[in-house]
Amino acid sequence: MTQEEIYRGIAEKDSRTFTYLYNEYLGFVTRMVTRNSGSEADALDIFQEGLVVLWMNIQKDRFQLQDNTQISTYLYSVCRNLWISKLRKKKKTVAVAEYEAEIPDSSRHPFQQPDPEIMNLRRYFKQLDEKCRKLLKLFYYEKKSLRIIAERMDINENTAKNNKYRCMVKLRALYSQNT
Amino acid sequence: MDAQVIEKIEDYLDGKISRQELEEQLRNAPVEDIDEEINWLKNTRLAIEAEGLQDRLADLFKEQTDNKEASIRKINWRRSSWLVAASIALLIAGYFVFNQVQQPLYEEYRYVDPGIPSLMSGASNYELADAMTYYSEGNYQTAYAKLQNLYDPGDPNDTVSYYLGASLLYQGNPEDSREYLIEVMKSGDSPFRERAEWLLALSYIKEGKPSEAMNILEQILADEDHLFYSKAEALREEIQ
Repeated sequence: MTQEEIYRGIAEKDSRTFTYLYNEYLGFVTRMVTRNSGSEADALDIFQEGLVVLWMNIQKDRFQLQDNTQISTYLYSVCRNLWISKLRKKKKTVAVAEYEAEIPDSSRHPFQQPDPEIMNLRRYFKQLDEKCRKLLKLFYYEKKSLRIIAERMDINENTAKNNKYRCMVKLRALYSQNT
Repeated sequence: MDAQVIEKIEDYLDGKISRQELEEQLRNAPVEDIDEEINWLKNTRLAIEAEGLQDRLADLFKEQTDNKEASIRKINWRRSSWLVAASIALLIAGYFVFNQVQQPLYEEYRYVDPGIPSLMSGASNYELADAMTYYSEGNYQTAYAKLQNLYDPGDPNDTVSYYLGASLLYQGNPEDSREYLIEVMKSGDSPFRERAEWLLALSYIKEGKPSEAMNILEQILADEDHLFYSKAEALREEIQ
């Protein structure tokens, strides 16, 4: 896949693109993580989170495709920094520099931190009850109509509409309490 | 933030109303700073989408891991008198493994036709617009039932046939979908022909019939301008 195809595929949340990236680059991330106090399961978690961060940065224009951009190096940088952050929270020493040579391309791309506000909102979202999380994901991620959501959740459409509003208010309250 | 404010800002973020219209509509609403509210809602929607994406990736990568494990087989060759039995066992195992990977392959190349907006708003054919509204919402069962009422086997309409086929496939009924998809393909210059061909190939993949799928893929690949040319090329490679 070309860099443009990968970029577009990530932006559009295309499963085939993510599968391609999994097959091509999970190995690099796994080696970095497992050689630094992590397991293969940790590596997979970090890789998934790295893709989500990359997607978010594309949506927020914090990552744009330029002439010498290799998405693989950016993705690796994101994963590396996510793992370093995680290790530091666990208060473990980190020595990832020696594995720089293994990353797919010699060019470097400055790592962009994910937007802290969105990361906080994700954390608050996880604190909502399961029904709220399900409803809001159906509406905003799967882009289902309120009618379909009502059918899936076995409620009427008006209730779905009211519940959506109540869940957003709860999320807003969590956000306001913590900022 | 009241419900109406959220609704109006979402209309604005979705491009349904302009900034000016938003400000006019929120003139009497309890909103101190419209920009702040817009920014919050934009970030919240992104955060929720990110969570949805994370769940999707977890499922997708679990499938990949399961496929890799399923494809590992140990073959134990014994004496030549057992070679025939071992070959048969290998073919059966290979067929089983190959069928097991067809579902993820179908998911990987899955194409969900979103429907056609002009059909859904068409005043000239209410029944078709009604059926397509259900279709666009993913309610393929109801869409199929309503489209069936419009279907005339003596003089089939390619739009109705195509969406009947698509509805059946998306409900997990590839075998029955083919009757309608083939009908569309035979209708000559139908604007749905290329999509019908792709869905036909996918219907075979879904059923674990790679040879039949390949026949359709070769047809698609005979036309360099085909809408699904590059996908057909990639899928053919994976099957091979």
